[in-house]
Amino acid sequence: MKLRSLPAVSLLIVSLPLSAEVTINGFGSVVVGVSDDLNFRNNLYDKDIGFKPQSKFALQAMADLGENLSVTAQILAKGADDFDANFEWAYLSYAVNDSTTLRAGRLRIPFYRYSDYLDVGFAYPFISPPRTMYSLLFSTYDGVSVLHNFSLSSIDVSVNAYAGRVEETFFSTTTPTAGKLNNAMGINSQLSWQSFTAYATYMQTDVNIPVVTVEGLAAQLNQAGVPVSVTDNLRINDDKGTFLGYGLSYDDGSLVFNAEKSRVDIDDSLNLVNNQWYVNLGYRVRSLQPYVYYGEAETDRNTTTAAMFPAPFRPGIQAAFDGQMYEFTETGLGIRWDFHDSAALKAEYTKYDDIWDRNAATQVGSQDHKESMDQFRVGIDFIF
Amino acid sequence: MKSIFKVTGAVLFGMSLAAQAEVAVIVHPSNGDSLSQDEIQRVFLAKTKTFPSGAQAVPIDFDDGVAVKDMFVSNVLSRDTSQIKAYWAKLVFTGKANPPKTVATDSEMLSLIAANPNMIGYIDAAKVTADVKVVGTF
Repeated sequence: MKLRSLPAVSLLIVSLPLSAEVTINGFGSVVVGVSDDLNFRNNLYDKDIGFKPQSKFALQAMADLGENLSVTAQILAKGADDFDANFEWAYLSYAVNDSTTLRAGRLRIPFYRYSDYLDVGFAYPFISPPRTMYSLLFSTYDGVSVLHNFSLSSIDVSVNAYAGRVEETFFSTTTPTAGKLNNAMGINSQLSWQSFTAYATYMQTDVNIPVVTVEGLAAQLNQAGVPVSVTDNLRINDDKGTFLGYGLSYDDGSLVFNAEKSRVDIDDSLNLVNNQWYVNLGYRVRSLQPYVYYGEAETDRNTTTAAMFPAPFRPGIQAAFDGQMYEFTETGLGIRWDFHDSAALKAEYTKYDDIWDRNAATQVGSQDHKESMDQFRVGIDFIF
Repeated sequence: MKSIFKVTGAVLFGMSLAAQAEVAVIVHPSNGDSLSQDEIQRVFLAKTKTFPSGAQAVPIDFDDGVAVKDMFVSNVLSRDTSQIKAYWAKLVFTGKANPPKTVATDSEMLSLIAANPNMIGYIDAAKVTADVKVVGTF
């Protein structure tokens, strides 16, 4: 097992006072899947049954150091990473009072409704949350967070304000590039009232991801006489990135409803604004929970950047932007069976439909060669 | 979440007995709060850490497999065991809260509640003693 980039906090674990009360918990998922043999939207599976892409195991240790101070570390080994173990969470937590907690270390970015327990399949109906929506492939930051909970008459409010930095390999499935999100700041607010829960989240950051192809394109254009100030509108160099998301859910014990929507943008770069949403409906009957979901992901077209370039370059720049356009839908049908107090069996069929052709050479606006892909998965999620 | 296998028999046996029984939510005799079912849920689901009076509230639960726990989960928390497990998984694996401390027997429960004004627990209604105060029967 290879442990990478341990935050300083995790080192505290090995030197705990003997008196500390340590709680060990764990969770995992074993998922097998099969799909059409297509390279559709970074398809995780192929025609041969795959075990690794979404199987994972995790251990969490929480030590109460007393006087409102605690340390939590969670180590996760994902099949997708060859079961290399990584610290997903590792932080010190200080409870200022009953309603306010400060945390520092490696924490989860609260992008989505299920972000905090993204890997804990046991905690949600799906085998994995819809991919149209849960499209950002990085999920942790190193920094600080303030959690504040309070009640407004019968509404429970939870606010998480955070700041920090992300160092990651971005675009890992297309053009893997080591990059940084500096000065990341965000806030997530959640309201719960009876069976309803609503949230809204916003994050902004300075994005630095030197994608080789984009850097190369900018350099070529500079040699051809295009000023650096213009080609900087292609490079992801200290550009403002924003994430806006919101969602609503309902769970009365039998009927379960979920909807989420988000928008991701990186200003002044060869990157399109992504919009995505899904709705999910489920119904619990004793230990069975059948569910369906439908989601869409699409990009906004960008025509303003090309217009900044000298006329001879405009068609090429526009083609580079349009080549990134996509629009696809996801339709899922599944069932969760709580066959055990601490384990659930799930089976899920998903159909993906492309609306824009993936072929960059095809003219934007056409709907030819519409592709589809079927995927079938069975998994067991467990906690201990 | 521990040693589920050896208690399965006890659970099945307990469930058949428990079908007619009621669960009593109990506090220290000096506790003057009256608690609605919703307020009891909030304490046991770590949504609040205080009684309506403002005093600290420390919930005490039973170990998995104790028959009265299943009754408490369905009658008082209005959920089933796997929903409760999923609920705690969300809080535990995000470091937000841990489930209540647990006891294994009725006598442990009674002696803890009788000795601690901040604690709140529950027991089979037939086993309530004068050392504790019942705030609700479900």
